[in-house]
Amino acid sequence: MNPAVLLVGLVFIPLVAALVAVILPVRFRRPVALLGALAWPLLLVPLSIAVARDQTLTLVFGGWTPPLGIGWRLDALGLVLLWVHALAGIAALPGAWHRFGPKVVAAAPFWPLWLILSTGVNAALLAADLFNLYVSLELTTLAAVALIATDDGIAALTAAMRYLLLGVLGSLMYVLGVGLVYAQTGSLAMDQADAAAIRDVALVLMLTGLMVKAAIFPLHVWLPHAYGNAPGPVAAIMSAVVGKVALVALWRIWFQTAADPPDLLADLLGLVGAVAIVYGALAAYMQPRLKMVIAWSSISQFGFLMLLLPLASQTAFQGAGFHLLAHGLAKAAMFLAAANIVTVLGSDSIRHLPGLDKRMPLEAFTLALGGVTLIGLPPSGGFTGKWMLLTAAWEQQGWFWLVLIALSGLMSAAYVFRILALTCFHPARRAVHELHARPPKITSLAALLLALLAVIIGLYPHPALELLGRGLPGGAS
Amino acid sequence: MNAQIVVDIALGLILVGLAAQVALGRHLFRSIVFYVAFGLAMAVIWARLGAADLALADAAIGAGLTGALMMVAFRRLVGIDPEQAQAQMTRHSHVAVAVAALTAGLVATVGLAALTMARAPESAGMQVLARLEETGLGNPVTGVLLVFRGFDTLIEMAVLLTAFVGSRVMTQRSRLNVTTISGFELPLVRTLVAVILPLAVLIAMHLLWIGADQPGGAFQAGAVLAGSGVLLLLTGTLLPAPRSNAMARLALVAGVAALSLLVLVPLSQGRPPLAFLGKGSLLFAEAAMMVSVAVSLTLLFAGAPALKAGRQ
Amino acid sequence: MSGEVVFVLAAAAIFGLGVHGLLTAGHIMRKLLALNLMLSAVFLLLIVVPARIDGLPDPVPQALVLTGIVIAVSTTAFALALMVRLFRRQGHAAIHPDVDPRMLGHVTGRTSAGPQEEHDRGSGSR
Repeated sequence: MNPAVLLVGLVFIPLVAALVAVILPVRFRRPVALLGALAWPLLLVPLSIAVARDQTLTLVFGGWTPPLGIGWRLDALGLVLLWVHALAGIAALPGAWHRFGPKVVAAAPFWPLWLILSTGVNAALLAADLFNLYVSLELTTLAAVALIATDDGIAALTAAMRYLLLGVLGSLMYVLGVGLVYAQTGSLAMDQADAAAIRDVALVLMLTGLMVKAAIFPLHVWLPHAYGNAPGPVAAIMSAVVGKVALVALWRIWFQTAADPPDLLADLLGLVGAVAIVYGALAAYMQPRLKMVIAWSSISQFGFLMLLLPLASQTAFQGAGFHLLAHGLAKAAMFLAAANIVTVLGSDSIRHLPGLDKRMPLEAFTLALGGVTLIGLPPSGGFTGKWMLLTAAWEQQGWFWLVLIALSGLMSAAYVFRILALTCFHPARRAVHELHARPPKITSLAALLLALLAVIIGLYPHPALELLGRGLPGGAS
Repeated sequence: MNAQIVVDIALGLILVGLAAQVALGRHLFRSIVFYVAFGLAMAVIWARLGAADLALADAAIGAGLTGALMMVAFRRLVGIDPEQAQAQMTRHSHVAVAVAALTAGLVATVGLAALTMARAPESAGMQVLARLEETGLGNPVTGVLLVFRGFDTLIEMAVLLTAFVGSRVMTQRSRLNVTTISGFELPLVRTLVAVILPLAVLIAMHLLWIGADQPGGAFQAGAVLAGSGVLLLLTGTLLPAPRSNAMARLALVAGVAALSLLVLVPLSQGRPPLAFLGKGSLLFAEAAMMVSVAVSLTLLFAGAPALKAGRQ
Repeated sequence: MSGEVVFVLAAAAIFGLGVHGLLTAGHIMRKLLALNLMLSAVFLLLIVVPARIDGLPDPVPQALVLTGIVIAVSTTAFALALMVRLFRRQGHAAIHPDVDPRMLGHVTGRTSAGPQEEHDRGSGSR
């Protein structure tokens, strides 16, 4: 059997599970969602073997070859992000299961939406068609916004609203760009037959739209409040994949659709990434709440991923792709740990962190491990990613980027150690508040395992690096 | 030719004028009303451009249903706090005017440049027309929507379902509010229902049936049905129900489910997903999509998970 | 001057009006109206700019715009529900970048996805 047929399952298992969940009464939705969310990741094993052998898998809907029809394409980059999605999604399930039981009001829509989010993310990762990417991203955004709103607080609703409005603005710019591409080339395929014809205006419109969705500075304003106020499991899956899907799309359009984008634009976008790294880290350092620190850190870490555009080498791609993997796992783990902290302390204000290592050692350890990956200390996966990016900068004598990447580790260290120092070494290690009921231990363990995984991939980076080594830049589309 | 350009300029001016009323008008409700008029003007322009499918869709969905949804949302705000609902909260700023003018200038430059640029000799649209015969359809837009790019349409239907399920996150926390138009005399309601409902169903069926060969199809038909659903809610013939039921939920997922079948069934025959199964399968999918579009939009208007019979 | 030029200029003007509305509006519904105007302008460009085939608009962009219209009404309907809920919770229809008071200062209780309002339970299972 052609392994590409398995791709259908990545989208249709969660989708059909979502339909079943909508039809069934509320008490059945949670188990159905669990089954759906655990079933599609199983496909990643045979798909990984197939991608390792054939490099890319392609599927064409209805046999109508593009540009007439729509194609799907799974490459190493997509596979890496699918793994992040699967692992973070599974790790988030215990917390979601615990929090959205059948007696909770929001549980009825929550579980179908959870499955639809996975559907949208997977469809967007597979899309090899510019317009199909748009509809898939719309599905993802709408589901994500609704999931944020399941926390009924004013802050969460406001964050959801802002995310939605900016998301619509971003997608309308993207669609305008896509329309211009079609007018020029008569095709909506991502790897265009005549890439030279893509005008810079269309490219800038598409990139800007995707930068809003990926929360790249200065279009990041929706992200901190959205991640910081969403329910824990939602923040975890969103930080792991939802923003990154748009970023991966941005890379693909840059390297495959545009093929030869202007150097000036590359440097400009790299510079934007540089500002994001610094600004995000500074803002993270000043946040009064743990989840906001983690959320702002994402803005900073996403900045790295923009450095791929000016560096544009195979090594840089390996580094950026690996960073995507390590960051996704670590971030999801930290949000899950933070969710437990909020549940137990009733707040995630960092004033309440002192002494946490005694009361919630697993969560404190998860935060520490995740922090190690964010800083990029060896032997974590974060180190591997940043080291490859550094190597790429060295090879091209991009001294500015080199210094920036090196400095960024220090800046990440500042906000991570601020949290850790408060947690473990603050003199006032006393209980200033009553403790609420603890969520089941499995939620803590799931977060910890995910954080451990982010470190372990740093010890065994070769499979992922080898896969990524045959990926994007160099025009090998 | 000259008369045509005069008509075009007039249409363009009307459209921009209506948009200005929407964007700059002082009263929110008035802006919503003008938005409906704007949608209708868009429909006229689609017709002028020869895009009849879009004319139908924009008149029914863009103008009619979006307008109805906005009006009912506005009413809900007024029901909560009339003063805040209509609060102006508009900041006038010269910077905004400058940015808006600059953006408009950029869009105009880009658009005009795009009109004159060199185009690829071959386009997907030409391929569609060349191969439409293989599907037995007469309307190329339907061909693109259901056959060549059917997967887009599946995701689109999933977006509609998500909008409904997502809105339940909010609406299930609020009391149902019945938004009927008061002052309807009973005989008038009966007449309305007796005349308009069968007519709407007839029009919807017609649009669905001819969609294969002529302008029309599941979305337009579903929107017409949703429009009559809104009317029935306004006259109190239908009322929002607090609890969902199996019928409503099946109707909501019917469209995505039918399109999923179109994707998955060919796989069992060893063919690519969404391989063409014949014209009959398309009519089946379109009927299911029509039901889903109609029910989702009506329920989104009602802000409820299901409907029940009201006064007869 | 041809019809296409007229409609491109109209689309540009509508886009600009939408941008103005988006920038100046405080009321969420006004922002939604502005975004819908901008979307209409984009749809108009999508149909007008590509080459016509045999005197009719290219069927592919027509299908894309039809898809876009349905996605727009879905998104708008969802956004309106979100707006009504936000209005009920905070008492006004503007977006303020505020911090959730529950999360700062005194610990008032855990965040929960459960019902938080007096009448929240009344409306059924879905």
